[in-house]
Amino acid sequence: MATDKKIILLVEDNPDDEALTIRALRKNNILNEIIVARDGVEALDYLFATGSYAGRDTGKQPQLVLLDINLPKIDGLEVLKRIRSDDRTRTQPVVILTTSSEQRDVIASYQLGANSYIRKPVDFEQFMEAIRQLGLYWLVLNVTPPQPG
Amino acid sequence: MDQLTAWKTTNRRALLAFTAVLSAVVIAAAMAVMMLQHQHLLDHEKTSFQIEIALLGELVTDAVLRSDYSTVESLIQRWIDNHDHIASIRAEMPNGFVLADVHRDMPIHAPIEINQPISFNGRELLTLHATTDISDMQTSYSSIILNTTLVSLALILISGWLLWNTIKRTAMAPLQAQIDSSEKQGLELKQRTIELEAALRELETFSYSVSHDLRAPLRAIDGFSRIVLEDHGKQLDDEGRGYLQRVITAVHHMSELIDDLLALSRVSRREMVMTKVNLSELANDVIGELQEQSPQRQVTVDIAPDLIVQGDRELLRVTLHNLLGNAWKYTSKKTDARIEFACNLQGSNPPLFCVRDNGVGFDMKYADKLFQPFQRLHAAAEFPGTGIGLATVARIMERHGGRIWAEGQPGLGTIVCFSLTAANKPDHLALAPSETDKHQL
Repeated sequence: MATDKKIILLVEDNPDDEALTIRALRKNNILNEIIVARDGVEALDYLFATGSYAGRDTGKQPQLVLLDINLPKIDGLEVLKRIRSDDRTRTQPVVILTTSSEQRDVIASYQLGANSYIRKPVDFEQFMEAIRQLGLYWLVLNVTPPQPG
Repeated sequence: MDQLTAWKTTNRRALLAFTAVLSAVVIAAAMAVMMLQHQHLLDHEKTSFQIEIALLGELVTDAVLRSDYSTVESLIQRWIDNHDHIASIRAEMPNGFVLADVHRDMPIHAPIEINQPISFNGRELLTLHATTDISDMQTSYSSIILNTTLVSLALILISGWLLWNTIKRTAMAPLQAQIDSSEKQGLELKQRTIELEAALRELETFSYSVSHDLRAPLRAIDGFSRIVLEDHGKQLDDEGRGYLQRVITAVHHMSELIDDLLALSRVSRREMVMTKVNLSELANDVIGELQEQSPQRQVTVDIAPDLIVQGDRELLRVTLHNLLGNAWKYTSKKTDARIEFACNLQGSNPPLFCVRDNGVGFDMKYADKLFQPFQRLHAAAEFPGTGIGLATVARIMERHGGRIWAEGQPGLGTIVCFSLTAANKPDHLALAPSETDKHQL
């Protein structure tokens, strides 16, 4: 995994959660490059090579997007909607990783085409375990369609 | 509300139409009567005029017989002079000779003309052609017609108005009051619905932020405490590590509190779906889960079969999860732990469903605190918990229109009974069962 440098796009505005998620990934030997976007706009800029990411090759998309729902500027559900409505990212694996366990968020996420919905546990040990399984499944076991273009 | 207003308007219109038709009929009838009378008056006027002229004829007969024509003329002239209403008289003999032709200079609006032959001993002497004007009579009669019509119209309108008012007072007023009050109630209800909807939205927003924003910092506290223990634990002494462990334990408790509060709020907000629910199956599922979570526990569980009720499956699952979970928890220090779920007081209406355990029980002094949120009767170190479970169950019963009671005895156990419909509290919930009761259960 470390050699092919597959990218994980972590969309997270809370620096604590960002640090904990990165630690959980690293402790579970997930050594992919991690790009952090701290709001919805930054995430879309990265995916569609606009703004501060202008010029990035959109043919190379992340292997996995970990997307929070409550985000500044553009929220996670809107980001997901735009990912699914663009040909470049239509098949992009997106896992919702959020604190909310509200049913309406779960339903809305799946309706908008989320691949998975993970509730961040408060307990860090459970959080580590969730990230371990998530990494194993989405980065190792899961086969993704070839990148368009 | 709109229907009521429409109904009221329709009624008013119906009454107005009724009054109008009544007026029209009465006026038409009055007009017809007056027209007939008018005709009758005309005939009468004509007859009187004929009699009058005939009288004149008799007066001049003698002079005619005497061929004293100047007397005839002067008599006719005098007659006209003395009778204002006669416009002209022409006396003509059968051979066409005109004895007199006297005219009064007056405008004639409504003339009556008569030709009165005057005879003597069967021989026609002359014919009196006379004209009279009855415009005075007609004018006065027209004014009588007009006045009568106006008066009857006024009378009809007044009686219509009186009728309307009487109906309004006797029939409409109570109806009106009823309509007004129901309109007012409707408005109040609408207002309250709007307020309730706003409160509900606020509650949803609140629970959403609780769900999301309160958990995030907890995860950070827990996560970084563990990281400190893991990465820098060696730099701390036992006391320091112990304190960090306490931080982690406290975070867990707070996390549970948040989850339970959210569950309580979800129970209140949930849209209920009423179906047939087999409580016995639900209870077996819950016990299965509890046994899975603590496989080392040895508990004798007795669940009566096929307890079927009408209710919301999800809420009833939460109910049994809480009640059986409590029984499971509070019997954890017993070696011969026993939990029963049954429909107590068989045949009683409505049925009471009871969860009975032989756990630590509680002092009845505090019974009223049991169903209040955050109220706990046991120390957290002894039995963990948030004190929200029974409050949640009470809310579920409330939503079903039912009730819940509990009885306990320290050291002997607890019995919690619920009814899904309104019921009075039974005298005893049969905490310490007799042998026959046991058999029933």
